[in-house]
Amino acid sequence: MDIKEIRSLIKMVMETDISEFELENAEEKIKIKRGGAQEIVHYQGAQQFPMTQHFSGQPAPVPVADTSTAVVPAPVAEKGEGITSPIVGTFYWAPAPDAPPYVEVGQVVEKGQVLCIIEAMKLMNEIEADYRCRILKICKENAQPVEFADLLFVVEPV
Amino acid sequence: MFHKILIANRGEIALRIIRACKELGIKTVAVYSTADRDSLHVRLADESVCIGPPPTLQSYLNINAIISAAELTDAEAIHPGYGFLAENSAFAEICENCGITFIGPTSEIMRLMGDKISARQAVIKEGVPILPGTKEGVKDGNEAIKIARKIGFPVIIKATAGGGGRGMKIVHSPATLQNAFATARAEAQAGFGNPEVYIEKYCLQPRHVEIQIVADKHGNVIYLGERDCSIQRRHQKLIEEAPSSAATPQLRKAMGDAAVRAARAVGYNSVGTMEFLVDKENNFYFMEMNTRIQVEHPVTEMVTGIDIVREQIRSAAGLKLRYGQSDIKISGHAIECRINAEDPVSFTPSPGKITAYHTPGGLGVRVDSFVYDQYTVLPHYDSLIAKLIVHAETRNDAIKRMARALDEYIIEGIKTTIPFHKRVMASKEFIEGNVDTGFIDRVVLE
Repeated sequence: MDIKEIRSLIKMVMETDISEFELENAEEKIKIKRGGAQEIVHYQGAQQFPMTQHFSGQPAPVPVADTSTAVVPAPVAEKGEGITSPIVGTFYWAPAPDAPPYVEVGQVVEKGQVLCIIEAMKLMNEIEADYRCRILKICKENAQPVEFADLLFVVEPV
Repeated sequence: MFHKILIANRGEIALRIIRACKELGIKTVAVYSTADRDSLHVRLADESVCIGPPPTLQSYLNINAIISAAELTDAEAIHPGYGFLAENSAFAEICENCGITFIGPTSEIMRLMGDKISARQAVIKEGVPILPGTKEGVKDGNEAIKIARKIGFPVIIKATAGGGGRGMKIVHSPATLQNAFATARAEAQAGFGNPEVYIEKYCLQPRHVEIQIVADKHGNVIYLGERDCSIQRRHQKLIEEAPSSAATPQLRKAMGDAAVRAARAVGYNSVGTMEFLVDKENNFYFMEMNTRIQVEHPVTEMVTGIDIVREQIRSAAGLKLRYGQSDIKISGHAIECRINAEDPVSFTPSPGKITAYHTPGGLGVRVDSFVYDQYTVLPHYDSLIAKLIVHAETRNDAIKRMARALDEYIIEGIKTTIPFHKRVMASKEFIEGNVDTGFIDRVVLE
């Protein structure tokens, strides 16, 4: 299940009277529970580490990292390391709306290479790789709001 | 009225503001450092944004992160609480430039009243009494000696940009003045980035009495009576009361009218507090104005029945004050004890995990706190963990009620100043109302 599918499921729950929804198959399990102003989503999948997301009923959720692991940096259960946001702003994966993204999953990036832009107060901040690594996962959608210490990428040193 | 407010603060005041917003139907955004992830204000807000690591400079003082968070969440207004950015005129100005309403006075007024010298000059014009002293900064040691002799010893040398009790030197005789003057300037430079100092007459063991004012953006200003905050340790308030046992109705009216006159003259348009020293003859002298909501506002709320944070938000939203001065009645007596995570004798900070927590209750008891059972008090921020406030018909009843409530209050796992407050409530001097700024040294250190 990718983030788009999870989003659709949450939307479905929010738009109906469903108070609790659970889906389980061989590979993954997802539970969505309505709790007052917040929807609570527990997702446990084969590749993912267990993660709890709190959505406050608005289109662009502000994710909260897993409370059982350290936040900064974010170690991933399976493999790889996390690159987290150093500032509050909006994540963009390309330098311009019609330009190709800075990086793709599987790509190897050099130290100092720009991975993404976080826009804050009309300033474009380039986020660079601290070391040579391979991109395992891009954790944010284009134009998604990010907080300090939010997980942006999962990478493995190369 | 605002649709959404971002609270640029933490701890008990963040909670206080969230509560007022909820009752007004306003959505709330909490900001927090990574250390405050499990804090109550984050849990109770509608939305939250992590803005930085634990150090305050990178989180609660991080203007960029806070403004970004407001823009991301579409907050129309920011409430700064107290401390942190609450009296930072640069922050207020940035909010103004970004089209975000800063819940407080304008940056211009903050600059005027935040500088002790310009504040004194502003209120003198309105006939508000000030302590004999310099109207401008003192240039050098020779001028200092001349001024001090004219005022009469003892004098106190204060940093223009100082506050919170820092950057002050008491001088009892001419012999030590030059040295003290030079040292004061050096300390002011180091502590506040501005070496300018001024000199005032030093009052022996005065009372610290402050007037709460509320103003709207339409020129209406009222005062909500006074608070006595004389019980202080190293200029940090520990216990506050309303009304002051020193205030006669005449004194209250004189101070209140003076405060309103000065506020109106500078065009004040939010809540604020004017601090006065009251000497043994009940003469009052202007000290400084605080252009923010204050820690001890609950005691005024208890005796007037008015929600001061609500009025502050309403005023920021452009609504007119609903009360005239004649609507304000002081009823009964309120006391607040600041409960700090500190050793009750040495006042050394005592952060750590709260292993048992139970708050007092019953008639006339109010607890403003953000801690809870199993919460870990952090070492990064100030030590205030709770405010215990009681309200009763008379001062004696309030003292008995506070003593009873302190007995019920359980906070285990860390040290707190609850035993200190119990000692004060039982002390003859406090019960007799002999409270002035020398109280702690006299009564508690024996």
